[in-house]
Amino acid sequence: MTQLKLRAVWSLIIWSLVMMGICIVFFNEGGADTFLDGERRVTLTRAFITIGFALYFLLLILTNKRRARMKKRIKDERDELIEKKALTTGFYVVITYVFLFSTALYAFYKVFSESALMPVGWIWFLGLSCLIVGHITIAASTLILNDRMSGYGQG
Amino acid sequence: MAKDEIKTQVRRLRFEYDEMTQQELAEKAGCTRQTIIALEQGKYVPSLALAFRIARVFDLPLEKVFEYRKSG
Repeated sequence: MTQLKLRAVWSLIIWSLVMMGICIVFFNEGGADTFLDGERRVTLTRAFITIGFALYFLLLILTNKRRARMKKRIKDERDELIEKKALTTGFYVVITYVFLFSTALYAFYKVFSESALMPVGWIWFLGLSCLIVGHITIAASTLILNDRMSGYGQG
Repeated sequence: MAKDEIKTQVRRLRFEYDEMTQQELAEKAGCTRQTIIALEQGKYVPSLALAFRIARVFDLPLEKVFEYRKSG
């Protein structure tokens, strides 16, 4: 398995688990309305994202060591092309996600909330989730592009 | 609209060239084995630089290794 695919597979696993953990903590026990009633749930989500980043950086370090051990080229122009395309896809998915999520929140609280006040817990969730959505999209599109192997070399 | 198509002779040339493995060709051309696989399957078209490096491995001019076709 190439470094690119190995990183994408593990990144997808790590960030999917982190996303699941954060969603369980956030949406249980009253969701956004009660999210900031006490530090426990905020601390748990902080712990999930910290563990996610720690595992992700560990993955980057370990896959680099693997490259040194193999002593052969494991990344080339096709991998770079796939990385570029995946990053672009990730960028557009994140901005679309943030736009749709914030618009949906605005519409929901404008229409259904009497006070039209939005619990600030949603901002915490949006902040964390857009980071994770970005990572998941990049990993997933890397795997799809790597499988299709299509595209033209540049330069 | 006409579609550009690049045909490659890499697979045939590898066998004619002492049955060179994909890994050997990848190492000589400076790319990964996955790129050679994709290239042979016609799923990836290399950059000009890589195409020249591959042609150089076989000691052939570029047009003997890659063939340009316009279809449609």
